[in-house]
Amino acid sequence: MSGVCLFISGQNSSLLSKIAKELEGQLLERDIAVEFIDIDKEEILLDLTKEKKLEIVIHFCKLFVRNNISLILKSDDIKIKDIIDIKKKILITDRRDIPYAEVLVSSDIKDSVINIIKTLEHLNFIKRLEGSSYSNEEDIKVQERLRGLGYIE
Amino acid sequence: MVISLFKKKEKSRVIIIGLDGVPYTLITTLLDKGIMPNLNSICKTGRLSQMDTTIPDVSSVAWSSFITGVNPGKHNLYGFFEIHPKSYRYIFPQLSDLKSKLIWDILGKRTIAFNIPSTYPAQPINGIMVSGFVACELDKSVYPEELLMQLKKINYRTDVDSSLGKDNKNKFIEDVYNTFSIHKNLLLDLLKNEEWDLFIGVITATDRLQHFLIDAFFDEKHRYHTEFINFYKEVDKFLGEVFSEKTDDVLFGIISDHGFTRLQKEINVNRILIEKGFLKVKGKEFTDILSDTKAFCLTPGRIYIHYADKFRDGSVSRNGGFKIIDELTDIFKDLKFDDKKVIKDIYRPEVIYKGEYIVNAPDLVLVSEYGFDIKGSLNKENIFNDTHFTGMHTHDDAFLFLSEKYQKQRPHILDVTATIAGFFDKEIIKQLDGENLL
Repeated sequence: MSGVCLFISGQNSSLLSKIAKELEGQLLERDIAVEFIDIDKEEILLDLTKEKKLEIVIHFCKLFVRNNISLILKSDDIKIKDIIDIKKKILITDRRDIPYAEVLVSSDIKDSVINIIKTLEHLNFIKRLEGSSYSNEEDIKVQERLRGLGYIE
Repeated sequence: MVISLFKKKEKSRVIIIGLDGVPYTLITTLLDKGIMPNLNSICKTGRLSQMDTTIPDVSSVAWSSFITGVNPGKHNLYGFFEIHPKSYRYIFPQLSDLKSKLIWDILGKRTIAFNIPSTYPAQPINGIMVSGFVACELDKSVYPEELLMQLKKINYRTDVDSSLGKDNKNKFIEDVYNTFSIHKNLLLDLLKNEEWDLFIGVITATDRLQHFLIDAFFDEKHRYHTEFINFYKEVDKFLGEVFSEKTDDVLFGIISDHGFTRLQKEINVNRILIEKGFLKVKGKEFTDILSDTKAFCLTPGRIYIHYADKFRDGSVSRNGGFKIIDELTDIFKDLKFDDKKVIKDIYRPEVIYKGEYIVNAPDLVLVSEYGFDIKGSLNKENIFNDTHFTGMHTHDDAFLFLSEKYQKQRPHILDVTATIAGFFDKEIIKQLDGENLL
């Protein structure tokens, strides 16, 4: 399985970060090598123009993905149009097509991540989970019960 | 001379009733005060004693040890939750995650396993299983499936709604009574109407009541003292009804999985680790742990060294870990509140666990003095704090009643499983960690 680049963009920065962190956690637990980069906060990108940021991001996307490491990139500044441009640029330089999908996320973090994961599974970017782990809904209920008795915060 | 032609019927079945979290000292006080007359009569048929349980003394570990007959180093469950070594998010072990066989599978006896904590999701069994805490989906809590309709009909529920315990005590108590009633009715129904060789049924409302209201037991002027005592009168009636089903061929036992005592203060171990520079976090969740963290604590009292070869962002070498363990031991052995020592024991895993999964054990386990509940919270500002919980677990005040006399002064919960196994087949005891009491 090769790496995947996941761009998370929108207006609610804090919500996007939470979705990105939840997604990172779920992918790590599936033994997928993944790194989360907040493009708007990454120190080495801070003073650069949007074009320069994109140039660097594309460069690193290519390096990571070809080494089977996925990237979650979050930015309020980068729009879907920019991401399509990135895809085109990679297409031109690499002369190969890149599978692409968009997922609409909402203020429900868990639900949003489920949709992203399902899409990744559907596109065969990641394997479907088998075995005994809890569903997200069960996970929430278990946490509530343990919280009620003071075992977790 | 009269020669009896009737040989006394051999004992061939076992009933174990679990009363989750009920301390020996509470039971004996209630017996002395005449509040549990049925239990008093039952006790005359065998022996009641104080019992030790697992460390940590939480239901998931204690009951998992009981149903496997082995210590956490073999069954691999050390708490209600762990932290994923890559994502640092909570993970919650399930019944299928236990690395040791379940006692009823080893015995091959027809078993009813009712409401035993940490038995979710229900697994195929030669008999019936109704999962206990933290079961959340009823459809996955029952085996065989045919029983599901019956449970739905009686509006079965796994647990008391503990969220009521903090702010709505009246509703909470009502819920404790209701949940107990649902559990005892189904338990008695299964006991009376199903076939079994081994019957294990657990009541968990006892534990929930004590988390929020054990102070009502100690204080006769407490607003809910009468409700507390009346609840135990109901438990006593239930025990009487269960015992009336005991026939001569049955070995009968009642156990608790841990004790309980009054809670004075919570100890926030992670606050100490932060203040002493062992724990670095950028937020208030375990996912916020930074790579230069040396150690962190998970409730209750499980300290993990942030090893580089174990955790994704870990930075401590195995050799470096020894020094940290020594430093932490020094810090916690001297921890005091109002000039009183609050940590009773500090264990290295090899002292209390044995088995191939000891590699997953905490690197240090703290056991507190009575009254001080150890927490692994990351969002507390103080080392000691008050809490709305009034009770905390203890590992040395559980109880055991068996309808046969036994000699061992101080049994352990693992001995109960070995005794059940020995009752059916003495050879099986060799696979287990406990001692046959009979």
